[in-house]
Amino acid sequence: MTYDQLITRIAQGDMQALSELYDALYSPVFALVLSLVKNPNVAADLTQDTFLHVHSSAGRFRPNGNGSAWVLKIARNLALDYFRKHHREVNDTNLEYLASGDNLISQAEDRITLNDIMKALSPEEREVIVLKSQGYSHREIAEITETPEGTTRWRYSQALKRLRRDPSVVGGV
Amino acid sequence: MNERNNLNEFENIKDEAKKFEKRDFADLQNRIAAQKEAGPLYTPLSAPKKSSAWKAGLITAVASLVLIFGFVGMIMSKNVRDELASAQKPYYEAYKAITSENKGTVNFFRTDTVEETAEDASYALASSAPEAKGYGDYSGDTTGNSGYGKTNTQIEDVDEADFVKNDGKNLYVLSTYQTANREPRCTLSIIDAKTNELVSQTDIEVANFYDISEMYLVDDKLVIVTTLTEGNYISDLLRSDSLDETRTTLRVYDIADGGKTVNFARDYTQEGQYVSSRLVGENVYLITVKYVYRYGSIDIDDMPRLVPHICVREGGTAEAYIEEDMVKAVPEENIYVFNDERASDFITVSAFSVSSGDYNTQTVLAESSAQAFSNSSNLYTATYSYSGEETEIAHFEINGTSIEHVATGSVPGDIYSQFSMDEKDGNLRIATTENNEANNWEPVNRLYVLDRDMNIIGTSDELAKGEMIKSVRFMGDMAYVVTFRQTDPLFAIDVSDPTSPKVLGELKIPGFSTYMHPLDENTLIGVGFDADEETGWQTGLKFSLFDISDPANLVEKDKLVVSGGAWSPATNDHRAVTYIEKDGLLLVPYDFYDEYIIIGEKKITSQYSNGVLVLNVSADSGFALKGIIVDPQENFHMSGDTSEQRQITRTTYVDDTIYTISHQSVMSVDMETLTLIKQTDLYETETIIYETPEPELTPGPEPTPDPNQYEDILPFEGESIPVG
Repeated sequence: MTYDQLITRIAQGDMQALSELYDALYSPVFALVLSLVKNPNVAADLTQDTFLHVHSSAGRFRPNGNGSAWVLKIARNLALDYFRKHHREVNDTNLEYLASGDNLISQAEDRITLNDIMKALSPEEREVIVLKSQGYSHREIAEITETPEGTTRWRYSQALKRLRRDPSVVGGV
Repeated sequence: MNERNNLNEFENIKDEAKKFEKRDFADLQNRIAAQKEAGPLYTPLSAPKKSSAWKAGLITAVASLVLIFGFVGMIMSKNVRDELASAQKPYYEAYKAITSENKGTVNFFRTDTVEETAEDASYALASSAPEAKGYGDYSGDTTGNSGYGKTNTQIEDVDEADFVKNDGKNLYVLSTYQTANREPRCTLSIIDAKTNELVSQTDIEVANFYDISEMYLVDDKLVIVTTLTEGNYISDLLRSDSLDETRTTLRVYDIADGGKTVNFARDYTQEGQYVSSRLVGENVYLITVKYVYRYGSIDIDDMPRLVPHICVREGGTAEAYIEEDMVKAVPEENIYVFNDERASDFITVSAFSVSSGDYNTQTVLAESSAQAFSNSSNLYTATYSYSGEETEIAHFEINGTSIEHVATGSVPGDIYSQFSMDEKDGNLRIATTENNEANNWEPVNRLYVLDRDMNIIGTSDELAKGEMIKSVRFMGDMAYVVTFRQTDPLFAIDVSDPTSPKVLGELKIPGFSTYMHPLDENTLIGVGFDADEETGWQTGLKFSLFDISDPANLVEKDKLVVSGGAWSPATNDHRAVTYIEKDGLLLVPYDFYDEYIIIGEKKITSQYSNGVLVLNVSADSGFALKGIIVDPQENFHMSGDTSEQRQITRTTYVDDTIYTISHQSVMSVDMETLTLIKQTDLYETETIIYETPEPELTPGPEPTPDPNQYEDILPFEGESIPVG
């Protein structure tokens, strides 16, 4: 089933559809929110909040082929709202410490990590990189972030340059 | 050109994000259960009423028996009695269609799309008026014979709405923006074209920043098209959970005193979201889609409120209350159903006279939204049905305020934009791309011809299997189609015989055009992207000059490539292009997001600027960069959320002065020297509070949290966001 269909069914009270949407989009939502608020616990809370809002406002969704962009917009707005209320408390969390699983920083590989982008980039740049990592096109990113496509392309190229130039970043020139 | 290929560098990030512990869905369920305000939104669908052909037969048979025996009615089952009773009620046909069970499986989100298809942001028009000059019905000149610029429309004599209008004396700019607290604002600025001074400014009510607000200029009247959702007087009167509260309004203002006076004259409101519109003479043709949300089951008694409503108001003020007796439902006989499977939403087309307030409406039931195409006598709405993987087209004949639905038909595939359609001699020509699982996501492109009754009478051969249509331009008896995967074939198709469209020629070049502009009858300008021949990745902007004098031997006579990080709104909105015939100038707004840009052979330091490329272009000598006009605000991208408001997306001109227009700023520029004469800002920029997160910086003042600021997605007023 498509995202649009899932959301329409959620509006009709279908919890199974919500569960499917949750599974499908949890990760992109979490990644986007994390890139903005930096704190994984807060990001997890806001991710849940996003789906809470998806559930309660699904009825207002107008099917247009962009169901996942709609969900990500909600997530982004919640993150921005949180950020505005609490920006003094956002600190540069060491993600490596908090994330579960293996060693995230692959020093030997020419790959850019979450920590890298958290250190080197502005929030606008981070969210573009994260959305790109999730496979969204510039057109879709422009829609999700409500900025012109030229701006998102620019931020993307800036981010790439910044990541490659900073010697402390893995793979930097 | 597949941007999704370019992921390798960041796949890590996607994987890393997945490693964080995921909160259980059960937690979410508990929270939802705890939310007491669940209310009617969560009523599950009740079992839908069954309605099928055999029942209709049974009803007829039983009804006959009733007449014959006279007492059988007393022993009829309740269901049949209900069905009979419903059949007497208004909008029964529409009701049956909307509630019919067999709705197709809708597949809106095409996750497997290989190409990034450019969006159809513009509306194309084709006029079949025999007296139109030029080739086909388009002269190529944005300015006509006058010394000032007009909106770059698809068809001459049929205007398209835009946020910028020009009558040679004044410029009219309808700016839509948001304040720092994300409140939407819309301001009409009237500017003296000679001096670039503000003559007047008027606030216009809008619901959302991202809804389109645009306008028409009709003599001394301005017609502003806006979408409204809040304070919707119509839905207050007709409130139901199944209603979409959005309505689209045409507001007519009388302009007097050289633009100093702007007086509300009348308005016309039609339920539904804005799809498109056109202006022919002094009649506006408005198309909206009213979505039907199914929160619970739909009852026959819901229909009078569910169908689209119209309201016309004369005089008073735009904000005045709408009285109940002003609101009229679209009559039953004006609602057409083509296919029960696709009957989900109402697409309403109306003809409205700007001067008299007279109007007529027609509504078709279709599956979701539409694109529109119109000339001065025929209007078509095209709706893509994901379930059928075809485009349903409704044909309306228009004449002044009269509008009649003639027929609805369908063609396989989807259209790229309004430019995919054209009408000539009563026949509709339409180019589509079929891209679906059935043909293994190998797109198939064809051109079809339909007659007045929407029957397919001609089909071309397949074009460029495996590629997608990127742009189309009809010129009289020829159609030019660009497809793309890694290279761009330009096809020349002869459509003079409606029963047999024939491909006459093909030209393969790197990159692809997303917009084609007739320069003269032998020359076509292509605006689009350059691309790597092997990978198909976009590498910059490209302008092409095509010699189309011999369709069997199409030639790219010249090209100009802007390589590096370059983009233009012209790649998805034809109104962003201005061609000035008398001076041989092509004006194209740009966005540079690289430090160095190479235009042709010149390398420039772009300073990440936004501005306008000014190109000399002629059929004989091709392209030459005359210069670039830059918005002097440096590093404008750095202003983050305000960037969109200053992004130049339109140009126009009066005599020898070029105007560049963004929502926030108008620059007047000398056409010969390209030096700035004057820059006028239309409103103040409010700094968006969210900028840098670094804790080392001194924090600014505490922003006032506005719980309603995302009202369009947060349904509860004053709700605080719980952070567990």
